[in-house]
Amino acid sequence: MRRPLMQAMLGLALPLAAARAQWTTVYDQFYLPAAHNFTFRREYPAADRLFNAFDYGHAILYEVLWTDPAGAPARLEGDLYRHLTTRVLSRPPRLPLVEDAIEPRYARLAPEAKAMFEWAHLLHRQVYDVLADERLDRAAKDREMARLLAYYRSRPDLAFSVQPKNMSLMQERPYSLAFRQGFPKFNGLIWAYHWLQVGLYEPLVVGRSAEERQAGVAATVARFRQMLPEAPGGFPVMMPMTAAIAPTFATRYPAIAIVFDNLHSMHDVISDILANASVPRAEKRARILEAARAYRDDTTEVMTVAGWRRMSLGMGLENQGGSAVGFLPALPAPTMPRGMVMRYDREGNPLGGHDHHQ
Amino acid sequence: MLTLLARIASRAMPALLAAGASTLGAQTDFYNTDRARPLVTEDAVVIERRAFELQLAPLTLTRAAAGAYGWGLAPELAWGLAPRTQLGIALPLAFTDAAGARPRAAIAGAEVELLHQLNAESTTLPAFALGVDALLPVGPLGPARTLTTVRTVLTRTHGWGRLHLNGAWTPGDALAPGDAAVDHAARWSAGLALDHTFALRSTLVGVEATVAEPLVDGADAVWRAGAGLRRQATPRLAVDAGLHRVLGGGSAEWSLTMGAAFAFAPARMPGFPRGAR
Repeated sequence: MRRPLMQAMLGLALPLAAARAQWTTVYDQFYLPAAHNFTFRREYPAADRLFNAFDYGHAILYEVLWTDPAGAPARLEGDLYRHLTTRVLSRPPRLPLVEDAIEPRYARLAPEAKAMFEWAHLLHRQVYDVLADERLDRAAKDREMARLLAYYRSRPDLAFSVQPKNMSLMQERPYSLAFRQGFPKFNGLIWAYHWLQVGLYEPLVVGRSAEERQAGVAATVARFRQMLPEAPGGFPVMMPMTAAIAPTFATRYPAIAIVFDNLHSMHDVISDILANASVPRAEKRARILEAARAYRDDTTEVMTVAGWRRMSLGMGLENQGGSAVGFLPALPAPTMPRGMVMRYDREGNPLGGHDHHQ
Repeated sequence: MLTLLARIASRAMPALLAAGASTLGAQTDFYNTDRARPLVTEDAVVIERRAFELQLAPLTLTRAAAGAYGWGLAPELAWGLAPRTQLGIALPLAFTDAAGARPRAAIAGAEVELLHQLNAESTTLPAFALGVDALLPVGPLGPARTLTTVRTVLTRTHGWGRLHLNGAWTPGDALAPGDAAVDHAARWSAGLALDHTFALRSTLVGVEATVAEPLVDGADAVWRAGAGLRRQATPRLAVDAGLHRVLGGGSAEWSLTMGAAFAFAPARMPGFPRGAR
């Protein structure tokens, strides 16, 4: 009598425990209202539209990896890659997209991680707005950037850490590297997205006039498009680091640059978790939430800021897609194989003889 | 006088009912549907924290079987005052233009609504929201007493689209037959909607079926069907249109809704760090 009762209670408790594990109360929050809202969209529409296309690429990637793991390699490296590079990037959407509608099932798997990305993407967009606003002088831009960062960090449940994270968090977990090894074209495309997303900050901060900024942004966008026909050869072979691609921006706004590197790193981590068949489907949510916590906290796998800069440069600018401004006509020739893992200590010193200088 | 108002209401207010009568529940983009924008059945996702949404010209045109036309306008403002919680205020206006009668416009109550989303949707759980709203006796076409309604909203997302289930219940005595709100107040109502999003076009289309029992003794439940579209026009402006028809339990009528929602947030509201400008 007691045993059936225990079994019945257990039968009730297990679904309740499962439901509790799925009960999430993450919520959205409005962007920081300011006079510079949507300035980048007005002043640089071609670049702004590309970011809408990037949102689509990120979202469809996760949706396919989660819902069709068996078919994902063929789809992502085949039809979907072609669709993205020949259709979506050629005629990017004019409005920011609702990612829930593109990745409805992934969004249900990890709404917390999705919300972290959306919150960081809002910061991305608002930083462009500030830097593109010609009404703001340098001091005013610095003040607005500080305000953006403060508002971003007012959501500790969503905000990426402003402490740089060691690449080991991305490259040395049991599930690491699955995406870059199994999906070289799509992985390269994602890194090219990230190259442009951080790279565009550089012409906006180094341009000395509105005309220079316009010309610089146009050149950086053209450079991104130059990468596409030679895929994956033209794409970065390593994750682009903001301190390497946009060094002036990263020097002036290091905390924001670190947030974006942590964001882009976690993008890769989630791709690995979803792509790696050794992570059981029932555990993928837990692994994603673990990674999300690690990228939010200020303690896990932290580097010094100087070490982050040293590591970023040590990985080799030419391996990360090259400079975003003042580049030569030809794409840079990488010095390392695609997706190679290089290890660094917290001061950015190379470990294990993987320094790229050859 | 009361008879006249009741007649006007009987022609004008079904338009508001078809539009959800109380059109609170603003959202900041086309994907998060509001009550009556474009379908009566809404999703369980509330407006973002600290966001405001102004419903611009949310218009309803109704054609009753007798050929009488009614117009409804329900300007509203919603505010994401707390995480997953929104407060809304609406002031429905009704216009009538029936053959042989003088056109008439009047306020049809004032509505205050609180909607709280309990959770975000996950792999196993739909999103749930609970709401309470009060339609206050304001204006010639408002109810004779405050009508308080509690409601629940559920949203489940699938690969093809989303399914929404709404239910509402209004406690208290039945309204008198001559009450101005008699044609849109319901003892209970339920709605089931399906929508699909064309993500790259920032456009949503949906269909629904609803049923509502009027808050009058002995009245039959009214069945309606509807279809609607909502589209993002600019990053801050969403437009919508819907078409509804009574299928049973009431006089045959069509109604058309159109509207636009503008999202914003005053920079000086608490919670936003102060800037130099």
